[in-house]
Amino acid sequence: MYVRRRGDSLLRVVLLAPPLLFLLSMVVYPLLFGIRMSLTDYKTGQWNNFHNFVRATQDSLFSDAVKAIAIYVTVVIVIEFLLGLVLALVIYHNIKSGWLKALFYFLFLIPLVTPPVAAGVLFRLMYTPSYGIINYLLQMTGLIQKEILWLSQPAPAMFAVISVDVWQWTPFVFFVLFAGLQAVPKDTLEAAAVDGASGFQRFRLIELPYLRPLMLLVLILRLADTFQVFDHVMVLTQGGPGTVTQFLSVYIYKVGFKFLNLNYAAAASIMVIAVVILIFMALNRLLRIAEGGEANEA
Amino acid sequence: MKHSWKSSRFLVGLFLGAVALLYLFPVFWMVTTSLKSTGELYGYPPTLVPLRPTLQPYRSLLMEKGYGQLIRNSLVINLLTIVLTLTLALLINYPLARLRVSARAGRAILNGILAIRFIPGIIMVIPFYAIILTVGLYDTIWSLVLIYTVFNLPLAVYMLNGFLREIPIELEEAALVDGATRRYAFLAITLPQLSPAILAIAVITFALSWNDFLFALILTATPAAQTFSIGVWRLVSQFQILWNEMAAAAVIATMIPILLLVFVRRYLLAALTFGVVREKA
Amino acid sequence: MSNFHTKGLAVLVLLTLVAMMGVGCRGTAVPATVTSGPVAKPASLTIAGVAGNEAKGIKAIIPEYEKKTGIKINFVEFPYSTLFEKIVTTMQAKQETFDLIMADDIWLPKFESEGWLTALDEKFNYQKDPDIFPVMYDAATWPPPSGPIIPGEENKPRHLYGITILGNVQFFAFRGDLVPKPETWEDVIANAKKVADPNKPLYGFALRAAAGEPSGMEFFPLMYGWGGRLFDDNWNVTVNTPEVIEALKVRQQLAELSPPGVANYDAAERAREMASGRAAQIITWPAEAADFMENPEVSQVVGKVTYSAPPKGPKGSFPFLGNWMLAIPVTSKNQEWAFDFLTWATSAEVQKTYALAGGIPMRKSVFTDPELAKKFPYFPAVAEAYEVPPIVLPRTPEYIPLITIWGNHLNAMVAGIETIEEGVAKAQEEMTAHLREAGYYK
Repeated sequence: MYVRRRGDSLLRVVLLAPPLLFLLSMVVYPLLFGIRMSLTDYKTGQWNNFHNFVRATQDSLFSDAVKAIAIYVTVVIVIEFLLGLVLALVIYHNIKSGWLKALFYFLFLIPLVTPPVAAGVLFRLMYTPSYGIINYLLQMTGLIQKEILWLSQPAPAMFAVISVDVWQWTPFVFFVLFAGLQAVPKDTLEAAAVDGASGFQRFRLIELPYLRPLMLLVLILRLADTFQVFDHVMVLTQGGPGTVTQFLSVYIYKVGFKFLNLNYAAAASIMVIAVVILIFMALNRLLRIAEGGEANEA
Repeated sequence: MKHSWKSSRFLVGLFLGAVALLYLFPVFWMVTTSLKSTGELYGYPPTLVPLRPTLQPYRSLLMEKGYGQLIRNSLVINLLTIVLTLTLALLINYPLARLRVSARAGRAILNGILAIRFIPGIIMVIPFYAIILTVGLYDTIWSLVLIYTVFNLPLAVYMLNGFLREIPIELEEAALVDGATRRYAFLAITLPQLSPAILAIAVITFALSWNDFLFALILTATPAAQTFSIGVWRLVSQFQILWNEMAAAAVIATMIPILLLVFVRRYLLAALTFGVVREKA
Repeated sequence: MSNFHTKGLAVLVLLTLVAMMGVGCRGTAVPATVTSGPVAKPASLTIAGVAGNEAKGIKAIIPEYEKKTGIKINFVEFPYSTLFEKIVTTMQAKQETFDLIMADDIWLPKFESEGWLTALDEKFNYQKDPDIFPVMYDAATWPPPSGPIIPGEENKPRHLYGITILGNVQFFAFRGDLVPKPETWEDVIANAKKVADPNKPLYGFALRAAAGEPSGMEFFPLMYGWGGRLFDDNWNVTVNTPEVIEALKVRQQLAELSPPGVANYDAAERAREMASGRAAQIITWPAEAADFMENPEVSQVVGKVTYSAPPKGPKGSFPFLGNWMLAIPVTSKNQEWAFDFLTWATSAEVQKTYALAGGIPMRKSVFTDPELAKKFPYFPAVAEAYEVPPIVLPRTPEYIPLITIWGNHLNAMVAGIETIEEGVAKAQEEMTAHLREAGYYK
């Protein structure tokens, strides 16, 4: 299939080597450093028999934080993924005007480039009881009688921090999948429509195979990033009420930079990496199976 | 039949309208807050539109607090990061998609690069700080360009890879057969077809670098290299939050990339309306 | 001629700095020895400071110093929430970036025990000034002059490592036009019940009860007032004790008399309730009085608020100290001039300018200055709180983790997630586990 030329194999090395070496040099040392740190004591720097990992299993703050992040990641990813996908499909198929498309593009760009801390502050201003606009509007329209204590009750507080994430990061899913839809050959889609395939059938049979790798990509990147959620939580709830929104990422940050035990933080981070890699492998497999025969192609 | 078509149009419109409203309200609140005086912000009930609009929050940020310098740093860092990320991503992808690299090696490279993104920033930042000190880039914008490139490459590489595989190779090959150089064939024929992906990557890279705080905090020390996100965090002080200045900072932060996109609107529209048409053999 | 000389020197200093940064920056710490003879004047001094109104005073006096000495002062502002980790990472890497740091006094134990700060009395022969409250010196002395000393530090010689630049201390604010001065916490509750009016609305109190440090800090005057402590002299955690539980019951009453949602109130919300006339009494800090209650732009209650030291519990009145200090990192190349700036900035004359510019001062004579008291009605109450005297937060680098854990449980109690008994039991366990991990129990 490929057109071969003399010097191609050299070109291959010349093109691949510099960026890969750059990445290796940037990542390998920090990663090894982190692993070493996770295996040593934070005071003495000595090997400590996996103590940091063992400690995590006995630390109730750690298990609270894991529970909190599990809820957060699950809800956030499901909503963002589905909403982003539906938006990409609906806008791609229903809006023909380039300018209207651009308008939506701008609308979704705004949350994405709002500094997370500013988003947190903004939503705090809106959610705050007594003088926040949300309760005010809800009360004015008669939807609620008593104020909802958005930021100081467990379920509403979780809702509040999730809502900021969904507002900010659904556009990420949208942008990637929208671009992905553009790679689907139009003629194939049109042919299917002529053959009488319904919208859903066209999506499943034609677009989905194209989108699958990108879906894996957005899922895994959103997963890796929501595991590190930080700024807006610190501004909205500071981890409260109690430890309801003290997510693993917030806890790791506090342990590392406020409690100055970077070694324990490193151990917890490595567990996060392990979990993300496991989920990545599972997703990869799932999508491969769904792809069926195509799995061995590429 | 006709009826259901109409009602589905209606539903689509309703859905998009609702989403647009939910997305716009915080934006509206951001703008309106940024135009309120502190006094008005502290009154009750909250006003939907500022009674006496003021530009004082913007003046305070840009004139009195010197955020202009921070914005400039961020902008330079972001644009350099986008260029470097796209260049490296294309360098990695070209051989994977166009020269014979075994599928297993290709997949290993891709997954390896993607896995970089799984490493939490908190574990990277201290050792990376040590590297930056050693190479003498501490408190320079380059330290941030490097780390942001590392963190944005996975998405860029992976996404471009998917696109390069989908884009028909025939045209490029035809050019090669006609004696064009590889560089010409790639730049003139393939690159334009990648525009949707390049747009998405540029936007996301911009957003991720624009929003980073941790690396910017640790790797810089003075306004010579500090970024806008540091300035934004400063507005949450020990005893108060400067709500209106924070909102103004958010407006500025969102206006800059929008203006950049408006500036390149021709390419934006071209990329947004781009669609692959593949001649099935 | 002499001008040329200074310029040349400045360039030399700069070049050296640049070279050192370039070469590898893992330079060794500068030993804190007494240097004699004239010291070259640097072109500039760099200060790591906190962003916000806490920096107002110091920023106002900097131009004067620049004019006087010709040294440029780079005051780099960092967000309050992250200045600590910025300083720690800079010091750990032995960076010379900062000649002076502005630090919350509770961060000092970490910096002092690591040997990151220059001893001011030893190196510069700093003499204590009777016009500066002794408690400020106590808070910057290591090992601490009172209370338990952390393991491994007992035998270090005692030195002074910082001077207060911003004299924050907890005190109390109440609506003098609505309620009489509360002498005790019982009076506070009685006042609150008396004025509470849900229709206005007017709340008797506004408790700062957000998760973590805010809750922890707010609770101290009550906790100490009933005789409770975070730990005893052997670092055994003592939060699950009858005294603490008794104080928590009082706190719970205050929470119920506060506006709904105080479980997420930090200082900004609390002060806002007071300034908008919706709350009648609060524990407060000077910055809140300056920025909220006495700020005509936002306040409905200018002139209606009276300030005093915190009310008494059965064991007395306990305001807490929360100073911002200036200290000199051992890595600074310009320590003499950093010290010169430090003593200049904290001198009586400059402190008055500093206060007039809206900064929170630190000298007794400035807090009690009648001219200033007219302009800043809370100054005498701050001085009063200093005479009590204020309590210095426990001197251990583990204070931050402990107060975070404790503050989360305090918050959970107000939010109704935990009962008082559950909260103290869990906190006791978690705080003990933390100190054990840190090697406090052998």
